[in-house]
Amino acid sequence: MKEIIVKNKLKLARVEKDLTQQQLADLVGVTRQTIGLIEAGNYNPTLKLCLMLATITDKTLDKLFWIEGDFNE
Amino acid sequence: MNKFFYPTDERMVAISGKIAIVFLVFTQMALLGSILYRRYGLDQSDVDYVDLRMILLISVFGYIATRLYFGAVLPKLSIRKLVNIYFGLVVVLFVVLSIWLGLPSLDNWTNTLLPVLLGPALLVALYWFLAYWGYRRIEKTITEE
Repeated sequence: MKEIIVKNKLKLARVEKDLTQQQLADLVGVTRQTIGLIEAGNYNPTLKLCLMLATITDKTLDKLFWIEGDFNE
Repeated sequence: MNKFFYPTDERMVAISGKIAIVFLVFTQMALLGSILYRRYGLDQSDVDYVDLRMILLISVFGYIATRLYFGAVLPKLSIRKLVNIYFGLVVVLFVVLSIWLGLPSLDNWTNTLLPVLLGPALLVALYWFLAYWGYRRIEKTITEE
């Protein structure tokens, strides 16, 4: 099976909102390290966390997270 | 609650789960090693390490049973398949034990043949029970939504 790579624009969205990693982490109830790892693409958050992040950054889910390439090929 | 031991961050929960399973398997393997060493290395009798056997039994079966129940990952098998599995287990156990300990004596059948017949029956019954209730639990959750 082809490896699915999830990309995100969390860092950009966070900076647009003028939030630090710690501030965003506190708002969604996770650690700063978790936010850092999501931004670096090293951790795939749950749907619940994705939705919380999208809500706080005022982005739609598909604008914040997407799958690289066509996984359906 | 202490966040170190009861993490609320989802990533920490996932990591804790992975670490826990690694050390659970390690602990179970160590217990098994200890039991085998006591049995064959120190030549101790069953009574001397019955506590370790019970802990290992509860740990292994408890883990498998709860995981299967809550995950509902067991396929529900037909009665025919379960019967086939039962007879397969009985034959394998009988052959292995006969080679290892010699043919069982019929005079002492409660200590020789009965465990071979009853052990697999309990395993198959437990499998059926967990598969049935695991599926039932998941299906109930789905239909309630």
